[in-house]
Amino acid sequence: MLEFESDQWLFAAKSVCGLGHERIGEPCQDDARAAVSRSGDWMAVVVCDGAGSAARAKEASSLAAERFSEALVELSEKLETTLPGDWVNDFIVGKILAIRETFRALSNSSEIREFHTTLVAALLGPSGGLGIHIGDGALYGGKADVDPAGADPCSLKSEPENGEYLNETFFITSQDWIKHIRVFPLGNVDWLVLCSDGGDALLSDSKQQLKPGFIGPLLTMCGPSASAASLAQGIDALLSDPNANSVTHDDKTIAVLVKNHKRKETGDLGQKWQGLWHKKSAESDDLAVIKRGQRETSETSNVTTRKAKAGKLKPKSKIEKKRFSTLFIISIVMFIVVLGVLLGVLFYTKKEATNSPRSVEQRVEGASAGVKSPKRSSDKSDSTSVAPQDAPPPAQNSQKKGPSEKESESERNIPKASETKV
Amino acid sequence: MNVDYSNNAQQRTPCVLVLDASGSMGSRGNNGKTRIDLLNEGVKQLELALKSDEAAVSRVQIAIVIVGGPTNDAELLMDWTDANYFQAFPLSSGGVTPLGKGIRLGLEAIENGKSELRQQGISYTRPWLMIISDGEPTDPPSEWQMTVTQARQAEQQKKAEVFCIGVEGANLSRLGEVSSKPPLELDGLKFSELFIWLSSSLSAASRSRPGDTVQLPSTDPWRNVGI
Repeated sequence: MLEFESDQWLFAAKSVCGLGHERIGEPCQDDARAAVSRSGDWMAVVVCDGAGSAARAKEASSLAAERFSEALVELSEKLETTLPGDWVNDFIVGKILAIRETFRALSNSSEIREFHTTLVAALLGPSGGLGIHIGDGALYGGKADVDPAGADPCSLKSEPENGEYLNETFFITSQDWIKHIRVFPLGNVDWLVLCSDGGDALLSDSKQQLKPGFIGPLLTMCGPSASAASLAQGIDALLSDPNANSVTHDDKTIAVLVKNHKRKETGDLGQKWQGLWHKKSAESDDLAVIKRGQRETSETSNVTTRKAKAGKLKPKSKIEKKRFSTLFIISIVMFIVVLGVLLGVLFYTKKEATNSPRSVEQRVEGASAGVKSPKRSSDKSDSTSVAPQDAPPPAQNSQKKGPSEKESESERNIPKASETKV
Repeated sequence: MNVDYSNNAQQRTPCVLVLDASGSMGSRGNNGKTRIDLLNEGVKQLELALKSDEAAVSRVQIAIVIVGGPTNDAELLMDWTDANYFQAFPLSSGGVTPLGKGIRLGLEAIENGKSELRQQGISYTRPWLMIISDGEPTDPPSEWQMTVTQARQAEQQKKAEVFCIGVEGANLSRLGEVSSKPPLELDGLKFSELFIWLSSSLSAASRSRPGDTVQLPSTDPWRNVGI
């Protein structure tokens, strides 16, 4: 089930094949499923991402998502009659073991590696529920009626778990899966968003914070007049946008579950997020700095490594810009002082020349000597003010030959360019 | 609708090249070019190939350790540089082959590079250490042994992928000691082919997603399989 609408719920999920798989003619290896309890009070949502390297990834994610959503509905029925306790964890572990057994039976060997898949799941009831997460992908949730000026509208977050390396994660089929399973209470949230890592690349920033400019439009699609079909269409449009392919080539899945009465009471769920976004855009000065900072982060991170030895690691901040401008002012003041001294010297020599019968050459020599030395000192003050950190340590570069000279040249140019842009 | 599609998924695939520029690399082949000339052309090819690859250009990072050469020592000649800023520069040959020291410098650069990326919150794939030599290490035996231990450990602990490429005349068995993967022998002097392969391999690694095994292109264009 990928679309569902009832008195209690509005749900839609969509998977869109990433360019990476599309290009080589492979199917989307993400899958999403939802199931609803007989009472209609509980909903289970599961998103699974089959590993690219696994031969039967597609099969694995579909099967795991379907079985596990059914299992969660079964759990909800138990929860209606039994108080939660340890048995809930045991139940979940048991169901995953059963899925692993199924994979083993389907596989010709005892290896279930060919069925590698991650799992992000949620079971939400009238007053809370629980989440289950193994591997990457993410889960986000929040209340509908958050004070606009108040806290983060996202009150619940289950982050992706990766190994040290970007291309390593954990699967329900991993040997040590039990170490990586996370079971957590959902709290009384009004909306939930579950996604595969491809979907998460669109939803969140590098600090794993939801981007108001993406979650806002997504939740706005759950407005009072929305239907499950229109929501599914909306998600599809967001995921299929050509811009999405510039962010990730991976398969993308997003599933959205909203409590229906909240949606109708609140009106536009995404408004607060949109508000956050527009508010930020309106705070021109500060945000401009943040935005520039971000752009520079990506720019500087390109060059930082080359500058590592020069001790320059952090992207330029506002403070640094301030320091730059003070240094600039100081150097101007110094220049004026030097100019004054120079004029004084000139005036003095001229006066002397009129007083004593010195030759013209001597006068010129004296003047040029007078010009030279202060100019050198002003040069010095200039260079220290403009590029105090950009200049690489001379000791390292003097040893290197041709190329490193070229490098240090560009090293000095790049940060300067970004400074002048500001 | 106005939607924020900004891309914050920064990631890197680091690769350190440990290049032999010892005296023997100055020997001339049939076409009159020296090995070092061909190596230099190869590195230039690497630059161009990386820059023309949409994934690699923003994700692959290169560092270069030179072994031998005019200073007759091993040194980190180019610290981590993103592919779009990478500019190949000619190496000149000379001296002996302190390969052990070069490999240790490479491993050190990898650890430094990783901690720097971590500090900046940039994720990365497993770094590569690529050794290209036409001779055998001239390090004192104890130091070479230390290098072998370090490199093997780095490989076992998944700190780096170690690849050894032997150019004609290389002592392949000594070279092979530093990696669990057998050393590959370059066919003739196909440096260009080797570096183009390296570029597409790094590109494949940089595009890999969680759970992927990286499918490397075939090494046939440059590899001497022996008959």
